[in-house]
Amino acid sequence: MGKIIKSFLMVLIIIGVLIMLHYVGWIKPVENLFVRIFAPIEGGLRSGSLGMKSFYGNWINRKDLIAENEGLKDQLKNYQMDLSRANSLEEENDLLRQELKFTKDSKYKYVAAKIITGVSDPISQSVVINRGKADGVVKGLAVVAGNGIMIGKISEVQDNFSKVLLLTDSNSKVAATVQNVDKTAGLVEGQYGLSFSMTNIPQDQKIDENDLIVTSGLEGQIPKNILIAKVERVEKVESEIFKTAILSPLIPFANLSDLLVIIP
Amino acid sequence: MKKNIIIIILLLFLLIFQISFLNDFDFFLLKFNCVIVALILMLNILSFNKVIGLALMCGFFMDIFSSMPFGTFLITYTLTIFITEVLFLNFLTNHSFYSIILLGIIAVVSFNFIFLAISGVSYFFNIGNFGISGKFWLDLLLQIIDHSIILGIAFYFINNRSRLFKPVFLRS
Repeated sequence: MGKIIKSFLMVLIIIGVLIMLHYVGWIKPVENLFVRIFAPIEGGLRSGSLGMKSFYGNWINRKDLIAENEGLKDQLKNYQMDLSRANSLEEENDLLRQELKFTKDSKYKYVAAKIITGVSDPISQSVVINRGKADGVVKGLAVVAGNGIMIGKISEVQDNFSKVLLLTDSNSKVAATVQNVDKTAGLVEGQYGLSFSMTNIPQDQKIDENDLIVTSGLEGQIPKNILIAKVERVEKVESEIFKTAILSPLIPFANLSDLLVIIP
Repeated sequence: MKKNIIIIILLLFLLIFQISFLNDFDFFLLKFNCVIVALILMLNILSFNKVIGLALMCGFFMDIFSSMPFGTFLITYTLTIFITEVLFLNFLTNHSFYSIILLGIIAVVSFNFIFLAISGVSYFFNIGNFGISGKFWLDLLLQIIDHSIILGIAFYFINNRSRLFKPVFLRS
């Protein structure tokens, strides 16, 4: 037993030293090396896992029904994207913004990234991507899925990889507006990894089911009008100052693989 | 030396498999942590100090890929092994089927509660997340069942192939 207590104290010291070295940044090269060595294997395994998942899904459902459903979903997503784009254009016209300025606003630079690992713990909702400081990625940038729908923000950057905090993480907060006449503003916050909602909406502002939520552009590094989600339902208590809208994602976050980091 | 390197490579492979494959592989009611299973089996085969070293390595590796505060998995893995070892030394018979299963259950329960406790503390100090899923108890039960089945299969497999889990009798 004495031996175990001795080992316990020794391990405590080692853990303490490792934690200290991590936060000082002295073992970052080792961490980077680990990620660089294992990223290709992890990427392959993750693709395999996603492949098996999709095979299982197709197996338990009728194949043709799924194909039709997915086709319709894609169509709906395209319509929503079109609607979002049309609304943005209308807003631009209404405000008589100059064409040059408009072009400047839409000129985003993208860095294409691949997810190396999915969520590695049961509480936080984050993924690791294979792009880092070396590719121009910095903390706070918006990350979108291939079709332009925002899925999260860069939360930590290393030389060759970065961590992306998904919108469903309870620490995730993004300034957003509703694409309606009022341009209702609020904050999109994660709900314990399960879903996300728009909070801080003043009671007198209008927000309805199926309204589209886009980024407000108030966060310097995130351009405005990037599509985030649509409103599922609105929860309001008369006695409170703000109301909350429960949002439903436009794409499933569980099967992401290729992403784009928007560099403003 | 060669044996140790093989064990480290095997464990690294299991860690990658756990992070990249099993964490996404959530159908057939599978909530499987293969790293814990490997460490429990090693606790019966290798010296305690070696297993603690391997637990440190596993924790470090998991922490690199996790968004939880650095050290969460280092503490969780090593503390789980300490608790399991103390109970193993004091209350269980060496190398029996039932002790392996019981050790697996203790390890799974300890792992989950230590992880929750550390997340709670990090949330309290505003450096991490904390949340208990609505089906936490169901997940824990499924994990216990999954791990017991896998440990049982591993026990019989190793028992048929080697003498590592065979009882040792002294002859006068």
